[in-house]
Amino acid sequence: MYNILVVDDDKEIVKAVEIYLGKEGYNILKAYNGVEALKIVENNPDIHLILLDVMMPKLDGISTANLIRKNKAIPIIMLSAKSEDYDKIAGLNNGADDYITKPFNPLELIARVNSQIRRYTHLGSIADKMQEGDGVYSSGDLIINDNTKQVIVEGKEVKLTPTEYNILKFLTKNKGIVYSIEQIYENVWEEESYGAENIIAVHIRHIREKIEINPKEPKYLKVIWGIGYKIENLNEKN
Amino acid sequence: MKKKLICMPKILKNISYILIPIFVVILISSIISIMFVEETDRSIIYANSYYDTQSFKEDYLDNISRKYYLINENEFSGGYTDKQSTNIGGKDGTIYYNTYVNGNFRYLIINKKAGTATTNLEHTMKTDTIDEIIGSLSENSMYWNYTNGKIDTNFSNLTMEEVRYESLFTNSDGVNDNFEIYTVLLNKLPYNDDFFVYELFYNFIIKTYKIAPLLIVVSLIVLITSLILIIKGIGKTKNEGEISLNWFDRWKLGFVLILGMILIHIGAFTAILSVQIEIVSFVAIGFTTGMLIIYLTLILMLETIVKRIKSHTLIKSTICYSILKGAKSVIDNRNIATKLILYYGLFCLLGFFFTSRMWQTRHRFMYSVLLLSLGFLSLWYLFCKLREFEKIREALKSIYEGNTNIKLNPNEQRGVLKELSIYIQDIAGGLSNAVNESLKSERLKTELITNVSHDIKTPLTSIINYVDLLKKEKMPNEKCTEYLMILDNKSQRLKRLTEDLVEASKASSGNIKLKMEQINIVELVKQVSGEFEDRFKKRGLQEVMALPEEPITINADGRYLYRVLENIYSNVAKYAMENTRVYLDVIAHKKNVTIQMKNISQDKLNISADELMQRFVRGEASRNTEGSGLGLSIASSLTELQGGKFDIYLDGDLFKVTIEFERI
Repeated sequence: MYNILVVDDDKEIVKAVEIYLGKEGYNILKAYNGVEALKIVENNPDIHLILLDVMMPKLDGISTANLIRKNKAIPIIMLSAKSEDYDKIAGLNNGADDYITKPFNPLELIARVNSQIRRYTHLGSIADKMQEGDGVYSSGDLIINDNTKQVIVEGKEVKLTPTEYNILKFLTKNKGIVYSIEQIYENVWEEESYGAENIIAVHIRHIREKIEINPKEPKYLKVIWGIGYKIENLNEKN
Repeated sequence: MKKKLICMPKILKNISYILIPIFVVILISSIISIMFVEETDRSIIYANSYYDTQSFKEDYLDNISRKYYLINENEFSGGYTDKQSTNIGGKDGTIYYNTYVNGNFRYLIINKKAGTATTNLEHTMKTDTIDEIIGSLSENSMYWNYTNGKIDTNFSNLTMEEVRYESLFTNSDGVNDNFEIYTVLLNKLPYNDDFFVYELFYNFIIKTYKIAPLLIVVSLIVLITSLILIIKGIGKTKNEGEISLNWFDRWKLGFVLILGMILIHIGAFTAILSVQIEIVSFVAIGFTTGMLIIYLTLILMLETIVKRIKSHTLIKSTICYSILKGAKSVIDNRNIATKLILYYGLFCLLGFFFTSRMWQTRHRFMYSVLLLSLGFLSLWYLFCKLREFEKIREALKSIYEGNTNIKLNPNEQRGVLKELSIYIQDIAGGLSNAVNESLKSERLKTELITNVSHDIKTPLTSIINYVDLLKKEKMPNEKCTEYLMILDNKSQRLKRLTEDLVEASKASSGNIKLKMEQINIVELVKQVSGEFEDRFKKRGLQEVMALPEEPITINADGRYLYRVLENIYSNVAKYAMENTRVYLDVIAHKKNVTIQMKNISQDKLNISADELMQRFVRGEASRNTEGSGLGLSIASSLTELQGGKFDIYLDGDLFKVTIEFERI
């Protein structure tokens, strides 16, 4: 049983979140402003995640996150109507681990909460088992085991087609490097690219839809528009 | 503050006015004494008295010789006031008394041969005979006699040169016994003759000479100090920092100078005239009056000129300035054509004059030079005007190009051009204000939209979430399910609308930070096409792409260019007729690249392309389908922000979008 603190001045939103996350088996604590949130955090040592609104009376979300971060390592997901880039950057820079904009998709919310809880509770447990090398490639919580042809994202196995698997393997092997459609084609198919058109793009969209929580804002497989694609290097080592 | 009752500078000034003449006299006297001693008679330094000096001796001997000649030549005959018969040298003779012009110098000249004697003594009872006369003369201390061919005198240090007077009285036979001469200088010099004046002069010089250098220094210091005090004090009033001008100071400078000249001439004339009168008191009064007139005139002139300088009205009060100013205002108030005619007329007149003069042989060179310089001067003038004109043109061009921050200084220019500069500056200022205002209001609008959209999003979150939760509940009947679907649909659309609204307002106001990079447009088109493959398939749309083989690079922000293409694709996915082909061409030109997308619209397009791009206008009038109506507007704004061109063509049901970018 994991405890999640939901902080938002809009009581209906807190209620809705409670319903969604309750169905997933989480225990919900509620606060309606930053000050209340700080008190609850202080009194409950076993909180596993905080969902935090940004625009709140008394103490806003950014300041609250900042104060909690001073002595707690609890994951914080910001939940805000502010959707500008600089709002997200401000949130992430002040101790938030993730940022979800309102109005949010309930499924995305659940997925992100699950992801953060997994990371926080058995961080690196699977990665510890599967060491890099020996046909194992990884970036953060994305792990590809070439021996068993398995793809595991945040502890969950993902089913890919052979072509999708090959593309993802190639990009993960060379994570951090941007490849154009032509380069990916030549490296995966191992033949000259001609008329490849949008086949690669379609495959990559499919991969994104399978491995990413929100395919439009990918975490692992990034689209560099007009240049190519890459797997973000999320390995903290090196 | 206490009001000053006395004005210190003014008092100092008036004291200086009094000091100046005194010290001028001292200075001049000192200089004269030095000059006289050094240049005329150095013997003064060593002499004990006036009678020891060289000048005295020369004067005295000169007197003797003059009298002697006069008498010898018998030129004075008849020029006597009285005569007396008496015994001269044992014979009967006559004494002539000549007292017409008398001074301190007294003489008796006896011509034994002719039996005459001449004297300038008064004829009294005590001067009837030669002996009585000699007796009377001998009462005086300074004497010079010539008797029996010998000089007898009490003059000291007679040089050989002075002794030569002796020869005057010797003839070829040797000693001239015929003459006896007795001369004396009256004791205490009772008459105002040359000797009297010279003695005074000597006494004065001998006194001043020794301290002359000191006097010169002192008087120079006093004079300079006084002059400074005067100049400082002029125009000062009890109120500080204010120059008081009276009616006289407002006269034209020319009149003042003429008046000054006249007064100085009157003064000088008085002084010179009075000197010529040989009455001492008259001379003194006349000379002093003349000098006083000159001095007062100089003070008057100095006062008014210094006041004018201090109040910066010296040049303005000249007659020339008034004339030039009048002429300038006459010219300035004309229109530009009249001005041109005036200038051109002057140019022609001068040119004609110089040219006509050139035919005269004598000054041909000079007039050629003058004509040439007139030509160059005019050219230079025109060039200067042209440069000013060029500046104005630059400023106008910069305004035309949208930069209202112009560098134009009207004070550097004159006349019509200055007027033009001022107008242009005003226009630029107004324009700049208007642009700033509109930028500001555009920014405020974006801010407002952003804030409002934040406020909408919070309740919208609840609506969407509870609709979603409701969907998971069992509905009592079919109708409820249908209504719930409508709610779900509309809430999703409201979400998109708020997002697009913010983006549209940011894009149209240019409130976006672009990160320009080199982008391969072919790659981008493939990527976007891949993203939409599913949605196209769902509606049976077949995409036909014609892409160049080689990469085509342009300068753009990948994320925003993706948004442009995404909006176009999404537009096609929504509004294209089902089961038709969609054509996408990337056409590479030499300098440009065009992305072109064509499709057949599902609904009849009965609006213009321009209207289509306007916000909230969609192809169909009913607005039933999904979409905010902002897609094309955002795409167009974003394209233009990145330096591209966005166009829409409608031809029947054919819908065509073209985007053009410059290649690198």
